[in-house]
Amino acid sequence: MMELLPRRAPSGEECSARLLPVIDVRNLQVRFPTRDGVVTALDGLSMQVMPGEIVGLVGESGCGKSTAALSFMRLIPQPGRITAGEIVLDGQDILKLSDREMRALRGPSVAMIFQDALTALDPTMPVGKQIAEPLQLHKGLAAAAARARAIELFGQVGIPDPERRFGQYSHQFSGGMRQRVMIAVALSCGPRLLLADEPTTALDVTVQRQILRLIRQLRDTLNAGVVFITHDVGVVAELCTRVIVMYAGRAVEAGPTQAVFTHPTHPYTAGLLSSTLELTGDRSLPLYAIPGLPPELIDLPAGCAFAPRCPRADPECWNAAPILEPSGPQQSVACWRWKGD
Amino acid sequence: MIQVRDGTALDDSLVIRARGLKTYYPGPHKGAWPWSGRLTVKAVDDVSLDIRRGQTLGLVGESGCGKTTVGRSLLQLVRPTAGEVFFEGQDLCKLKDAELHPLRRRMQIIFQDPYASLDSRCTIGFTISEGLLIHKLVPPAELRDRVADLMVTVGLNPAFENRYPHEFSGGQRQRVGIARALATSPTFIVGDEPISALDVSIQAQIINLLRTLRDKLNLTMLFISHDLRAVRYLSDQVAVMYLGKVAEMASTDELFANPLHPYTQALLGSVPKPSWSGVEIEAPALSGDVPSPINPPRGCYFSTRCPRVMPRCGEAQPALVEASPGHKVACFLISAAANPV
Repeated sequence: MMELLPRRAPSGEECSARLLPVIDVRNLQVRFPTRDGVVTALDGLSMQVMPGEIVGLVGESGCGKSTAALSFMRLIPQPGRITAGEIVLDGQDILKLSDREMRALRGPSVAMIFQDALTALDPTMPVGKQIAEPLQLHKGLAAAAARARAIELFGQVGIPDPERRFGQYSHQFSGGMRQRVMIAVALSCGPRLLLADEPTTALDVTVQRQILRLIRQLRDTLNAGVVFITHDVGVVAELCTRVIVMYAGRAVEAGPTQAVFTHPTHPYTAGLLSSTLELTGDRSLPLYAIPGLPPELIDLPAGCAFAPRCPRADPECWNAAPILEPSGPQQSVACWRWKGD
Repeated sequence: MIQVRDGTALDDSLVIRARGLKTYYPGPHKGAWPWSGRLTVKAVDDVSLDIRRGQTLGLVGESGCGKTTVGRSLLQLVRPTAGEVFFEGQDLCKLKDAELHPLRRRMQIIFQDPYASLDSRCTIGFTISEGLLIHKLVPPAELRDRVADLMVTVGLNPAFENRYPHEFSGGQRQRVGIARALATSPTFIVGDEPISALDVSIQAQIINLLRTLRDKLNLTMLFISHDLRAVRYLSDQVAVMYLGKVAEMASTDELFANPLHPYTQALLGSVPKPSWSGVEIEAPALSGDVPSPINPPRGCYFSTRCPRVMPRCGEAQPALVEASPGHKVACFLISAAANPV
């Protein structure tokens, strides 16, 4: 029955009114063919983000968290390809859209804040113009109106003296101010979904605090869904309502942040949390460190990818990869042995 | 016993003693012409510190505060503009490069970026052995054994000695960097952000490794980091730097339990906390960014961002004075003592 209905494209207001997810990802798989073999960067990721929700994607480098964000923008670099799954963004399956239709969505429907603002911004164009451009293209504003709106956005993200800053170039900004410019570019068209890929990793802690607050405020004013990608579990604990822990291209644990972080059921989540540096507690004890290294994504073993580093692994874990199953009221885990012995 | 300028005696347990260290760099031109004079960047401006044998001093601060320059100035990798650095009884600043050469094997550095700091065209075995060859510390016949020993010490498989850096992960490369620093049996090691480029689970491994090595080899360390949490695990003493000056210095436990300088308090308050910890997520204590060291503010350098600024802070510069035994702070809230102009 459902199959017969055409895939509708409800507007943004409808989505939030009915509390439909701004993005609904099912079984996403992304592969990169390389000389040495096929790299499966993302394997079977499913997730939803509701309006006004901040979902954390956390894991170490190479776990697929940035690939996930890029695929939500359909910006996977060549020769990588989305090989399976579907991404329903704001009611539309973006994998079925033409390039032109997809381009129309980038900005108004989904926007991204990149980690390195210096390389993401165009050094040859005044920053103000980079904010005004999407406004002219997507919102059809005239140049003067776009300029006025851009200056307003500068003020909103806390850039002092916006009139003067409008005509300056990215090298004239400090790291924190550049990241604010990036956020202003991402916000210019009022996106339904904001993807933040390690937006604070390159920043100092006092500036990180300012940016996190800004993202929280914007979530409240725009009621947008936010996907926050980071390797810092401390930031996730403070900012995110829900969290997805990733390892070697797969989600290994998901649920409300407090539940996952206070009662981790996957051995990797537990290891990640206990190897995290803290401001309190006994500092004379050696830190817990997960032994070994993350696996190469080429030729992953058939079983659970974490088995070689897992303190609880038994022979069964090497045979087949576990899939996510409920481990609590809203929590799910991909582990054969989460219940213990 | 050697007399230092301020009249105090240098006792043997002090490995490093710096007094009035200043390192200035030539900055941008004042005018538009190549012959117009240059501004001065005061990267390190009057820093004094002591490190005792077997102890670790943690140096924290935001980017651009001069912490890396302090490390390099102590090792004479950049020659300080003024001041004294006593190492094993000699003032390094007065030595010529050739006189410094034999001392270099006793003081080594671990760099931040394990990708940029290893020569990609040398095998890691050669990289580790180079210092031994230069200082002729080991007969050629024993060289391979010594390299293998070092690799085992830092947790690398000695069979990898003929491999190149690109064949290793970031954490393994950092182990190579540590082995290279240890090769010449130094007494003093500067760790310049040795863990900040690494993943969380690898950070814990490297912190544990540095702690074990320090205790086993009785190393004296300067541990430079922007991460207060990492500093807490590795340091006996902590110095907080802001814009080329030490704002506060105390034993690690004292500093974290009883931070006196508003900047230290802001740094500690900026570390993310879980949303369920019951601690109110406070508004950012600091606004804006670190000012430029080319044109630092008048008076206390922190006065432009300080939440508790007083009229006097814009006029005079607070001196670093002892607030309680071993706890030094430079703030007019604590003491009225000012630096002579």
